[in-house]
Formats: sequence, structure tokens, C-alpha cells
Amino acid sequence: MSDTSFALPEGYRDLAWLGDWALPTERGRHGKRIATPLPEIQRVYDALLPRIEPMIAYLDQFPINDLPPAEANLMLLALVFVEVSPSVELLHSPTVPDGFEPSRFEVHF
Amino acid sequence: MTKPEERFHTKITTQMPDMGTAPLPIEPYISAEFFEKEREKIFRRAWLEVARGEELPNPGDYVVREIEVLKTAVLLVRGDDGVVRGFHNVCTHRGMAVAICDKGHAKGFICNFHGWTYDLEGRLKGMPGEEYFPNLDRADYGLRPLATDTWNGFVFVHWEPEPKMGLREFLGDMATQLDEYPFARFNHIARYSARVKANWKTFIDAFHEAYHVMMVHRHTVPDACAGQENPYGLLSSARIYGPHHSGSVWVNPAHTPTPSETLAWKYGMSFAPGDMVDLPGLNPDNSPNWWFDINVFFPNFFIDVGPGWYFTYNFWPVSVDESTWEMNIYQLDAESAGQKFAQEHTKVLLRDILYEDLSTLEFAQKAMGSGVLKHLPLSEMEIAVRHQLHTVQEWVNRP
Repeated sequence: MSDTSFALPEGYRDLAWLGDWALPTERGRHGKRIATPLPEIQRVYDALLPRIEPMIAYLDQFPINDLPPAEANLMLLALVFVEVSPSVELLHSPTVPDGFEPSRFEVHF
Repeated sequence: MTKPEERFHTKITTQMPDMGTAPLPIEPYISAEFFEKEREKIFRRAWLEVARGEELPNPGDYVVREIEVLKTAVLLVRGDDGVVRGFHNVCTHRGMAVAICDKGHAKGFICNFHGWTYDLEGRLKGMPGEEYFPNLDRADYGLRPLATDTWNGFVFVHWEPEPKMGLREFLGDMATQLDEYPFARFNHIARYSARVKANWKTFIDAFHEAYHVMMVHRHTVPDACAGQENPYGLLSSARIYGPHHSGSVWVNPAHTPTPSETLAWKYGMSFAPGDMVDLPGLNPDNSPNWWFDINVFFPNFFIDVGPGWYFTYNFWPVSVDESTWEMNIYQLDAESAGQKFAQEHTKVLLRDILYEDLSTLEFAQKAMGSGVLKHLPLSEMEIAVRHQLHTVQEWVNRP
């Protein structure tokens, strides 16, 4: 399963299947997380966890506010990891267990 | 049962005014009559935080804030002289709103009803067919002002155009504690909001004690501010400043970080407990195991400051059993991919924590309304809850 339209730097193209997750806003990434079953979230987490340190080291060669398109996509994948991490590490659920109803909690951007 | 140790809460109670020890009454949380008194005696007599100055950087920039408890919408606009002024968003002719959008940039305001125009300082500049208003003096029909002032970039308004007490005097030593904190260096990185069927005090009271952390936050940060040394999450220190108060949350040095927390702290600062960062205005009592400060500005505004981030809460009453809440998170500029990663971690963890914080409110409000509970027994750990109600009652009972 791969999506060739999702550009990534060399060395990270095996992560192209995560293109659907690489949404530009926290609102979008969070909406995706809470609509995804936990086993799929776990798969995303497992794929990204060992890659974060090399990814950040690679991205730090570029100016953070002017990343080229493939590098900007890679940065989004690092943020996807952050979004899915509570579900896997803490919540064991896409949403917060016993928490406030997500449809009533507005994430503005 | 004997208390394990005195070193946390004794520091707190020695600074407290006498507020009694009795359980809290339920009535102020459920009485519509009491709520009307709060509207008149508190919300129409206190300085209320409504914006950050950075939201209106240039002359002509404006924002509109609907303030249900005041039954008005406030139009904040920066004048050509750089001053932010607040007006009721109401045409003085027949009451149409003069600004239709939530925010924008304008050279002046024109009412869409009959075309009356106002300048950025609220003066009535033009009325089509002025000759047909023979006895009207334009000077009497400028936009109706609210007192407006700014402290450290936070814009406050006061219902009374000429309040008896100025903003700085009202904020007192609560502001002094944070005068040097560099709020202007931070960027706005997140906004969350919700509308909840709970009294505004029920809402606030869930946010200024740490006794709830081990239970409410059992999924997210159960061991962050409670542990073997401090099993119930007692604050490390607290301060009372007139109607305002400030508490420092203890951090558990034995907290076990998750893999993502470890990564976040490698690159920057997160809401997850981690390294100490020195900024003026933080940790005023120099507590050795310090996480963050909860600074509560009476009646309804919080500025919680931590290592490299701060966030605010505005709690707005709608009716006796309904409130709205808004949270804004601010961080220093991310200068690298790693810092951006850490910032994302701060807000995502905070957001998921807030889902937990909001989970108890409607149950508690319903229980109080049902008459099942006759009063609320409070521990010494919930001293801020007592202080908030003590202050509310004091203000409501004023002439």
C-alpha cells in the first residue's frame, strides 16, 4: 500500500502510506485520530516511533519556517506521531476514556 | 487518619485570610436569583479579560466578543493613536450591530441599518439625512464605551465606563507576580472551547486544585503531581492576593515519562513534567519540585504559566447552569523541527487532559440541582475553591 502523490525525502518514502494522516492542522489530525480504530493508530505509532530521532535530525538541516514540500510532509508525520502517541501510550483508545464528548469539544485550528 | 506530612499545606494555610472551615453551601451554584446578583455585583463590577493585544496589532484592527453574562457584545478596536478601546457593538440610533464580523480591519464603522458612521474612537461622524434630526447633537451619540485597559498585553474591559478602581489596582499583587513574565514573546498556538451545562463556579472549581489529578487524570498524567512523597497532589505553595489567588503545582520527581514525552523533552519543552526553565514570574516560592503555577484572576480568568509555555482559560457564565469555556495556549517561537515537535506535544497532551477535566462538571451540576447534596465538604487541599466562593459571596453581599 503506497501513495506516490505524497512526496517524502529519500530515506523516508516507505512512510508514504501515512499520507492520509499528514493533515496540516491539529484539528484535522485529531479528527482523524478519534475516527480511527486503535489497532490502526497503533500501526501508525509503531511505524513512526523509531524514525522520529533521525527525522528531526534530518529536518533540522532546513529552516523550520521554510521547509521544502517533501520535508514539510515529513514534519507533518512527526506531528502525526505526537497526535497518536497519547492513544497508544496512555489512553489505549482513540478518544479519552470517560472524557468529555469530542463532538462538543472544539479544536479551533 | 493522621496526615503524612505538613510541609505542603501548612505553607498554604498560613497565608489565608479567615474563610472558615464549614462545608460550602449549594445555593450559590444553583440559584437563578443568586446568579442575577452575580451578574450585577460581580460581572458588571469587575475587570474582565477579553483579548490579547496581539490580536489587534495595527490601528483599525478590531475583534468582537459576545459576552453573554453582560448581555452585550464588545467591539474592541485599536485607534490611530495605538490605544485599544472597547465599545458596545451597538449603533446608538436603533441598536443594530456596527461590526458584523468577529474580527477585521476598518477605517471606521458603518451601521448596516441606516448608515450611521463612527470613527475608530467611537465618535459619531455621519448620519444620512442629519437635517431631519433637528434636536440631535452628534456628540451625544458616539458608540457607548466600556472602560478598557491593558496589562502585560492582556486587554480587560469593565462594564462601567468610569470604574471606581483602575485595572492595575484591581489586579494588585496577582499582576505584580507576573509583571516580568515575557508574555509578548509568545505565539498563540492553540484554541479550544466548549459549552457546558454547569454553573461557572462549578466549572472553575475543577481547575484550581490538584487533589483531582490522580483520579480525573488517571489516564493521562496520574503520577505527574502526586506520588509516594505527596500522594494527594498537595500544592507546593499558594498565595492569596485579595480576590485573586495563585497556586504552585508540585511535580513528582519519580514520574515515569512515556516515549513521546522523553522525545519532546529532548528537543524542547512540553506540558509533560520535565526540566526546569527559568523565566521571571514563575515558581514564586522557589519550590524545589515545581511543575507550573495556576494564577486565577477574579472572577473568571486563569493564566497558568510553566516552563516555556503559558495557557489561559476564560470561563463565561451563560445562565445559572450553563457556561462557556475557552482555552488558549501560547509558546515561544519554534526555531527548529525538534522544538515544533515539542510544542505539538505540549498542546496535544494538554488537550487530552482537558477532555478529562470537562468530564465531571455536568454530573456535579446535576447532583447539586437535584437537592441530593445539601452542602460540599472541602479539604484544606481545595482552599482555592473556598476562596473563590468566599470572594463571590463577599462581592454579592456588597451594597
